[in-house]
Amino acid sequence: MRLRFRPPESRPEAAPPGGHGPHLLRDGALLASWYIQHRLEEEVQRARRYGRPLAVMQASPVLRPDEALSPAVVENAAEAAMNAARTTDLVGWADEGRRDILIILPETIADIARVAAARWRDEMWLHGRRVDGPKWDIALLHDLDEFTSRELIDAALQQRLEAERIRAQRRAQYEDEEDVA
Amino acid sequence: MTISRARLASAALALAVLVMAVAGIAALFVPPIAVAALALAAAGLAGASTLARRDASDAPARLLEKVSEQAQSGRRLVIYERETGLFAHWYIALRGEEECDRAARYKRPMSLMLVEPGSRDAGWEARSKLADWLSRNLRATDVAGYLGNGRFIAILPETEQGSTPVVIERLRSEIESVETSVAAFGKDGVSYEDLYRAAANGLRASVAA
Repeated sequence: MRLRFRPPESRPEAAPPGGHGPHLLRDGALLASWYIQHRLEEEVQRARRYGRPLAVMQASPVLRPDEALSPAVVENAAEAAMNAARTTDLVGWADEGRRDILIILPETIADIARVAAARWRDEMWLHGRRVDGPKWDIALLHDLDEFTSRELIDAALQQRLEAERIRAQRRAQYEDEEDVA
Repeated sequence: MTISRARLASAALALAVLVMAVAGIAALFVPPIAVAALALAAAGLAGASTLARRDASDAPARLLEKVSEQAQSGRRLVIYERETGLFAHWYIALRGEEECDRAARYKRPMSLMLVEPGSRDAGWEARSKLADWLSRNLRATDVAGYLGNGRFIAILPETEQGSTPVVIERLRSEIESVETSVAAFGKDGVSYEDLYRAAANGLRASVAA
């Protein structure tokens, strides 16, 4: 779910005392990794308790050993993730290093989650064209109410990244492969 | 059972010193055995030094990991209110809006409950008791917070208004003097502000009665 900011004067009950406030939940454009992991735990508990559908997607850049993500690429990837998400989705950094991006999709069944993953891939590709960014592997995990812990979800996401990835590539690489096809 | 590199390094060093002592004694009687023992001791010293060096090179990574863990748990604290350990009021407002958005989009039930000690003059002990009850007895999926001035709030997702008397009854059975008011999504409003206002009015009416 995207956090919305309104001036404190229009929302007195949310006025941050002593510098506390919604900005503390963010790390740049996205939710901070500690907060999205906290919410993932909550969402899984909720899905299990009420039998509600829940899906999660993770995008990881495919980098060469000597390659690092430039700030422009990171910014673009974050923007692509925000564009792909619905207002009720939660978008944040999966790790402290601001490399992998995680989107939590509450109330989302498998078919809709697949559509969301395809939309995210397209957004990543479109944004990747602007900055000639790296390839991004996107892993999708649905029916999260079957998972009992965040660690299991993390392991399953890594497994999916290696096995069933949906890849958003650099424009040149994408066109090369189209030519081959 | 795992043994750290530091312990292995100390063990290798101790062994090497022992072998050197044996070599010193053996040198008095059988020189070839002394030479072999000295070679063994040298190998032991080299091993101990490598292990100790590797251990030292891992130290910054371990320290970084530890600091990162501590920072993560420290940052988590910002969403909690200092005195009660429940969620802070700004966080509750944010979550309240999120929950209303979700309830509207997916047509799910949701309720908002306000709780205050029976007397406005109730001291910290009464407030602490209420905070404790809320943190122990609400479901893990509920979001409970402290708004200040003795007023507590709980956002109850997936909860019809008809289900809230059960919670209130449980609360009253443990804490006698307490005022409560509930607003339901849809019936009393569709935004956090609407629900809060409706529940606050209800609370005011119940206190006046």
